[in-house]
Amino acid sequence: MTQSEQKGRSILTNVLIVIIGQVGCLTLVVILVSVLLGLWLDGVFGTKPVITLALLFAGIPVSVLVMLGVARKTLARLKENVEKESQTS
Amino acid sequence: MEQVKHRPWRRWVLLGLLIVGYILGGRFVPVQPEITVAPEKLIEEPLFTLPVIGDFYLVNTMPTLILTVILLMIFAYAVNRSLKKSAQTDLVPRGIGNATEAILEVIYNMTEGAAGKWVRTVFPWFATIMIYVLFANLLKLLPGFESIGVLHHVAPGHEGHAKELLAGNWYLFTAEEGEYILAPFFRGISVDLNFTFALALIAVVAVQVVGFRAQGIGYLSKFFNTRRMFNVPFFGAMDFLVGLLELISEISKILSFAFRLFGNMFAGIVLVAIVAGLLGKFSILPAMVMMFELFVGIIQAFVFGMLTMVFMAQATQGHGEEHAEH
Repeated sequence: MTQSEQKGRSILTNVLIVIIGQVGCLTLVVILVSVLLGLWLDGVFGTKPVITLALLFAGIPVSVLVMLGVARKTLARLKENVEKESQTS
Repeated sequence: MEQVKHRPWRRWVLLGLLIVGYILGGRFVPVQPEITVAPEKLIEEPLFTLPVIGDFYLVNTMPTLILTVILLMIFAYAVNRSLKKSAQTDLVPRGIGNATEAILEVIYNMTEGAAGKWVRTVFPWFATIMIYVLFANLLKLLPGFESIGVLHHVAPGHEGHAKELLAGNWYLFTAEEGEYILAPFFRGISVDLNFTFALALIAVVAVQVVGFRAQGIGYLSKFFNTRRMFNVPFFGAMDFLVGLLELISEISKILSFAFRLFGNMFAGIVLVAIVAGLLGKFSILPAMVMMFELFVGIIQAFVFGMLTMVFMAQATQGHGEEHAEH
């Protein structure tokens, strides 16, 4: 395996770690934020559990969209780097 | 050619199920279950006691563990039979054999892209972990999981429910306050920190084993990097410190693996419990959350397997050559 191939594979594994690590935690983070924010707002306005449930249901599609956004943005940047690298070498 | 008329009956079945769900949701009022981080004991007396560690109880994730393993064996047998049957006919895999082959092919190509010639060592780990966690995550979505179990008296200071006789010694919870809580017979194994920690330990230790197999004793230079210590002392010291940080990051991988899967799955059962407890009457809403749980379960299985594979692939790549080049 040539030097540049090994370097390319090393970059790929690092990028994969970044994407998968983020994607794995995003669903949890978005849901937690929406529940905690909902509980706080319910406490402030005394409307328990309406706002919590509303934010909870809003959090579900948001977490899916955020996850897809992160994955596509990182992959697009990876593709850009690979094309730039192949033009220079 | 005569146009075959398709009658869209599925939507009427779905509408019927929603109406039945609404009616049943009214008759059998959904009750907010007790949400505990640790799995519940099915029998009060411990199964056995070890001198140092202490008591071992029969908790409700153990039946699920056995059920998952049995289902995996049935799945493997079914795939094997399907592929054997197609091998005898026209070599075109069908049904479960075809679906499994397609998924594993995708994963194999992914592994080859990241691990190169070590694909035959890394791929089994990826596929095994992913299929096992996938079965564990999807099994807990079946109806009856976490909702049928043994009644316990509620501990003082906690909220319990009253019960009403259903038949024989089977009871139903009612919405009124009472002194009973439920320890479900089955609880998802990925909602048990013991399972996720054990799997994380196995995965991270396997990463080190693959690292040693690929680079031999040179793999240790990743943690104790003394290569440039003598010719470029300052950078050598920096490399050494970075190596120690790598050691700490290996340990943090165990925590991240374990808590990522556990956190996502536990958040899932809390979500389903809250929504079903409060909005159980409108059965479409808990169904939406269950769909989201299905999606998160598949994503988490893929993330656990893929991260194991990528860390293994990274462990097979030496750092030595690049330094030698500068």
